[in-house]
Amino acid sequence: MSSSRRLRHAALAGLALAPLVASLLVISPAVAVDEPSPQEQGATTPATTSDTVTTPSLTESEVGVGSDAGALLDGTVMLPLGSEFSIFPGSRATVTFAIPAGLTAVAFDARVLGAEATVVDLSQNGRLIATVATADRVVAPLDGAEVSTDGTLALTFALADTTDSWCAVGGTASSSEEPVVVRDAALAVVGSAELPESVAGFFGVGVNSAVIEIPSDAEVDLAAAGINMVAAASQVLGQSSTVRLSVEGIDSSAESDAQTPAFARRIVRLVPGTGAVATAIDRTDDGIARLTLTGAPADLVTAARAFALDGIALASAAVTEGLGARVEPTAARTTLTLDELGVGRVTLEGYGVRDAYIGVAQGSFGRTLTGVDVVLHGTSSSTSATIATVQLLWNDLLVDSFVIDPSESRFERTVSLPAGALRSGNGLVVRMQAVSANAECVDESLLPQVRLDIDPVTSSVTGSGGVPAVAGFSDFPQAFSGSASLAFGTGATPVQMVAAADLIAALQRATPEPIFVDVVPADELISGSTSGVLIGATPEQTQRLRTPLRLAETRLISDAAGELTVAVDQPFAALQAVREGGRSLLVLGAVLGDDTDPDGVLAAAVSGLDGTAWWSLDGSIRLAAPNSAPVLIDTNEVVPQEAAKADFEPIVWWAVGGVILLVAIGLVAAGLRARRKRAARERVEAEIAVSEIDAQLAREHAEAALTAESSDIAAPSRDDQRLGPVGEGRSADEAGAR
Amino acid sequence: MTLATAPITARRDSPRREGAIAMLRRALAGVWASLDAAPVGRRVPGTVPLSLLAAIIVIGAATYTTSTGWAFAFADAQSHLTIARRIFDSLAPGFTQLGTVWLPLPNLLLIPFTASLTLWSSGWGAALLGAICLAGTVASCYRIAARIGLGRAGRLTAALILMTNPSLVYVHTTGLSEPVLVLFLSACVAGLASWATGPRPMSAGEMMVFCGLPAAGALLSRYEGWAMIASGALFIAIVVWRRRRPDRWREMAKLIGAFLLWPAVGVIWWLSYNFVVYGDALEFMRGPYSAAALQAPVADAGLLAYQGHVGLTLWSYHWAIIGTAGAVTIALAAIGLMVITARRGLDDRALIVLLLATGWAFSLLSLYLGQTHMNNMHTLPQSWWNNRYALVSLPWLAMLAAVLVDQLRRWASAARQRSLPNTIRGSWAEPAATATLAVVLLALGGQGVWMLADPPAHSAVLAEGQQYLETKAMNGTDAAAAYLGEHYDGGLILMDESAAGNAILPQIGLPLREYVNRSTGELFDAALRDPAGHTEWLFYSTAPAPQLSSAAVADLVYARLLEDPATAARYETVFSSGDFVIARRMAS
Repeated sequence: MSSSRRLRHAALAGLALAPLVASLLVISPAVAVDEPSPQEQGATTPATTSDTVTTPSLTESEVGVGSDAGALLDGTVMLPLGSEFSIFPGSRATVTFAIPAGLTAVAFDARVLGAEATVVDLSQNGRLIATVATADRVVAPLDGAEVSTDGTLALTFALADTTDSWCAVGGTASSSEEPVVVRDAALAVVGSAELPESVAGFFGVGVNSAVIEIPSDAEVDLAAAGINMVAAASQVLGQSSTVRLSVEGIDSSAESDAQTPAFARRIVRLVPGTGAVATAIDRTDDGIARLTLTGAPADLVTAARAFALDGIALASAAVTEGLGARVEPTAARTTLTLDELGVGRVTLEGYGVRDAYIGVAQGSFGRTLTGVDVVLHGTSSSTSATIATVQLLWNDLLVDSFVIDPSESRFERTVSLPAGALRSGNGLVVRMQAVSANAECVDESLLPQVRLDIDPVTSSVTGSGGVPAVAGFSDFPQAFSGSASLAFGTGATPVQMVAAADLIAALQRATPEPIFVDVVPADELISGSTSGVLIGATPEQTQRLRTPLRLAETRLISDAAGELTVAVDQPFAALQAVREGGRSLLVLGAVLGDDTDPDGVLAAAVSGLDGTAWWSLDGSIRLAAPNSAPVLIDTNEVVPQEAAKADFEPIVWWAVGGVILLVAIGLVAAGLRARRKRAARERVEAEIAVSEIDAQLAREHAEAALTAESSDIAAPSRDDQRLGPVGEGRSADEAGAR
Repeated sequence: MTLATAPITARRDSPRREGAIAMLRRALAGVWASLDAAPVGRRVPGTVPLSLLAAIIVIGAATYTTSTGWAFAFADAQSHLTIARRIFDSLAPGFTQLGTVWLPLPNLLLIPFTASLTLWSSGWGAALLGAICLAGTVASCYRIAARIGLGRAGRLTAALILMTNPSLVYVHTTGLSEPVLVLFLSACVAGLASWATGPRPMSAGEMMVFCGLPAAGALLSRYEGWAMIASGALFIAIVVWRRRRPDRWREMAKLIGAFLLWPAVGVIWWLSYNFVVYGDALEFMRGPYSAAALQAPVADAGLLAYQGHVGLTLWSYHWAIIGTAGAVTIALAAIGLMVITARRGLDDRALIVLLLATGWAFSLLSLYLGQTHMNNMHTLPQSWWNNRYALVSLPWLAMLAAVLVDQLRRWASAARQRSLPNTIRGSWAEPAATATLAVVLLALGGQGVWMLADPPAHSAVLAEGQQYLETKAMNGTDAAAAYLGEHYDGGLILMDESAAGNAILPQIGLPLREYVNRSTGELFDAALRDPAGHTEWLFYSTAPAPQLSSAAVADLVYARLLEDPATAARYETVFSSGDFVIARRMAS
């Protein structure tokens, strides 16, 4: 007997004693179910997409492991499923386990619950491995089960439809039988996980937890490297990963990490030094693979970013030097095909209800969107014996539906969705519902097949760029467009660094595009125009940014609960989504009491953002008080604070200035009008005076003429001869002057 | 042959067509010329064509709003229509149905337009009244512009700003009270402008008819009208005083008395109505359905942030103006205010323009005192609420922008005349003034195009309307109204139409005499006590009463069913969607 066979037999023997095993390792494999349960049909939480529906919280890289891995490395390791799943008669469910290199799957263990003696077929790659009946405990050996080249092992559960009939009940097709529910599913593995051989493969298959370590005296530069490393690791490990920053001496994650087996954990240690970044991989005393990056803090930042890029593949050795990456800003994209959105193939076939899920994260577009147009091209197959309808649900809302036309094999649908329908992460469910045309229970085998395919290459989502009307958490992470400025309000404390890293990790898990973090001074962020994150904001800074909730005493309104106000006169921390000058900011700050632990309350505001939790954030404020869970509130649930009202006081002076300006204009204009009037009056008076002179001269001239006429009769005197011409000449001169 | 006859036919048609074209051209030229003509007595050339154009625009807009549900987007619009119709179509008809929530005139004017069930339930009744109102408002503003000496460019600017404003045109297709209010405010100022600028002294009778009646109309439409009474009387006093006639005190008393007579009658009638119907002459101010009472929860919660805060008041209201009138309009109006101040100071014509600011000033005061509830995306808190109140400022802003345009046109014209000898000064002044005028007109036109390109996104009023439409679609309102309208086949309907979200009677479209609701008084109380004994149908909303809404009213029918489940057992639920349930009495 070979050693591996001995090992497997020992493992099976161990399984029989499994209830006695004190501690089990935990793995959360991915589950793909091609016939969702009615309860699941309405759920459209983002997840990966294939021809079948994947349960929301699980992905191929999602792995969680139990405590004493080291003790079990020579025996069996149980890899339980994180959630239960249902298999309907006539349908299949596929569970995908990520198996780290060096481990071998030996058995499947689960509770299979359902009608008595119901049989479920367990297969891999179409090969029947075992047939199990419903029971409280089922153990199926996995002899011959093969791990694929990507390190995953997929098991398919099929439940035969004993009646082979579908009925139309209340307008919804359903099977005439109850489903089988699989609970506490687990995979037993044996072996010893291998140490990663290269930097590129450091976050390999089966890894779902990473801790980025920086020293306690880390400066902001090193913190920036650590936070970028957190972002990169989160991006690589995916939505269900746990990536934390650990500042020496403050390791809040140690306890929770202890629940994860060593082979699923990674440690990245950032060591400040000089020169180019050098790498080395070793194993800690706990058996955890550890990557050490040594170099100048600024270089460590670029090295950390490299892990989020495809180019990291070039780091094919454990010991490298000069690791780094040049980061280009993410280009905003207008149209993405389903293929580019990560959708492999969308095929729905068979009777009953069939769903396919398509995740559309705004982050994929590299900008915020104010509307999208979804264009689906596909092919369908149906006959008149079947009534097949297709519904398109966007974030659980029906946005389009049509009946498959048996005479037309190709179809094209366009759906426009407004800004109000968009979230940060969106889910489009394509649902096909097929029943026999006469709506009776009919043997499915007697019915013609019905099928719908959507072409992921020609089908697309086109986004309209813009800023949504209302600011909120849903603006993120796409508002960063791949690059976030990070600032600390009053210098970075270790807890603030950890809080910043937790926040960035949560944001990164919500987008497939990498987020690169630049640490900048708080003043630069506040007075700048880039979107970013402010950690440890002071009351003055929230005042400058006009955040919806100022860090001051406030009252909240809970309209939904019918209660009016809740006074917040105790310490609290708030994470806020802020729209300021066309950009979007996340601001984390706290109001502290005399005996409040500032770090504790601050960390509470960003706690619990695991997995895809960011997508569930509604509103714009996440409020955390000591010893209570964070709550989400909307800006309008805050009674206007005096501090917020103070923002508007300068407007009074603008108004006063406007009035003064008007009065000044009026006075100046009145003065000018008065002057013009005076000038006009003077001119008129002058003209009148001139007219009087003219009249006088005319009279004199007339008199002179009369005198001259008299002189003609008598002899004219000398004076008369002089005055005549002179008088005329003066008059002419005056007239000319006039 | 064909080739030969074709030109002959063309020659035959040509003179007729050319004649028609020539006639049209002459008519248009006549209208164009009249727009620049000086007023002659009471006649202001150009008034009729622009009024007709305004009415046509409203009719055109109404074809869209009545067919898409937009006409019923605002619950208040449906409530006004309902009040108007239930005066004669109700289990308890009569003028007591006017209630005290709103001043009565808009509802009274709607009565003839709601006499037809079709006009009422389609929203066209309100649109027809709105068409008349906008025609009157445009006519009034055009006449004011002519009276204060503006030329064609200025007059057209004022009229076009009003006619192309999506928010203003939209409210004129609905049953909201703004169309009636803006009409009477503008008409009152137009009457006073005619008196102040006319060469012939106005008799007391003329003052009563042309100024007092519109003032009374405004007074009975909304409280902005009360402010207009005060500012109108002050205006008359100032103008008479400036005329420095020996008998000016007597003249002043006579004209102010004539101006105030009809408003005084209106006030006395309204107080009497309140006293007779409710036993309290000030019921409209302090009753349970008064605006103050409905707004109390909001005020108590501290959500009227602008109350007692000058800066926030100015900020909130002017963002509402920007959202309704447009930033370009308000910017041009600000410059126009400076221009008219510089050009005219506070002379009679400037005071006429200032009179139009009465609604603006009253709205600011009302906000400051916490008497009005208004929110937009720039207020604290942020939401869409009552931004249509800013529409009363639009005629003033339009007139100020018109003053600016007119002044630019004068400068351009003067510069052109100076440039005839081709002097150095004239060579740049004329193109500069013309270019500035062109820029201003382009900016106004561009704003209009921008607003019309996506009205809900670029108009505060329409954004608010869209929000209501979406809410109604989501919470089952539309589906419930459609269901009852289509499936009703007789029998009384018990419905609390005053509850939040239930103001949808026109949308349902059934005669109001089929309903037992709060407006039917004791009958409603009796039906609530024993629904199955009185009514065939139940229509109710299960939504909790919004604690902070001004319509903070719970559905009494639903409350009754919760209180007494046995009552519900006698009805079968025939419709349920979102918040709404329709039940039908089971056969006994």
